Amino acid sequence: MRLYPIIILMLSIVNIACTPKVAAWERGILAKPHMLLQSNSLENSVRQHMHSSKEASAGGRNAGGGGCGCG
Amino acid sequence: MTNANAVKIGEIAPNCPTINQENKLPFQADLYKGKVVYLDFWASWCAPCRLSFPKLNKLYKELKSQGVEVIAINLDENRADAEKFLQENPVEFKIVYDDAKQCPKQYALIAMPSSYIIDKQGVIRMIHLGFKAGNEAKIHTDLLALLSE
Repeated sequence: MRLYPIIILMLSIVNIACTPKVAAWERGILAKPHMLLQSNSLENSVRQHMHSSKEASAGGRNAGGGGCGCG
Repeated sequence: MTNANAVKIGEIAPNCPTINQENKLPFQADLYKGKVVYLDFWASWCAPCRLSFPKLNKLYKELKSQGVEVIAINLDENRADAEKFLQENPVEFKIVYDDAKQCPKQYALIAMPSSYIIDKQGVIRMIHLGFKAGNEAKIHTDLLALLSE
């Protein structure tokens, strides 16, 4: 039956939403630079460096290191 | 994210349950009655925490003789990371390792770093979430205000 893979897929999507939240103090591994959503962190940092030196502006991108700068 | 169990301003600072081998009680608010306590939750991977440490150390050195105690509870998954950071950035205030991660649960922590300023009666008076350069001036004012009570 072709329906089964679709049902399994839908159930797994629903299940993703049920996974528990990662607590604020459990984000050490997520904070590592290689956990960023990009293929090559080294290349990205070079590109960001070039961008900031050419445009005299920085930020607006993802950055390694967790924690909340709020407050 | 809000949490109904989170400790609030005006509440007595909760004690933390038994956690690790060296410090049977990593934070017991009763022990610090009569002192103004800056209780900080931190980890070495947390960029604002790293930023705050030299500034907290300066505050501590200035105000410890007046009765300020700084207690920083480390929440690193790997304790060696914290020890490496502390070797590079030595501080004089008390560091406690919470291996079982019970204390942040007790306080229902929602941000890193989170700091609680506790007055001489053991009541939480201010809560700071996160840390940005310049926050130390506000913390300094808050601590002085509580010291003078």
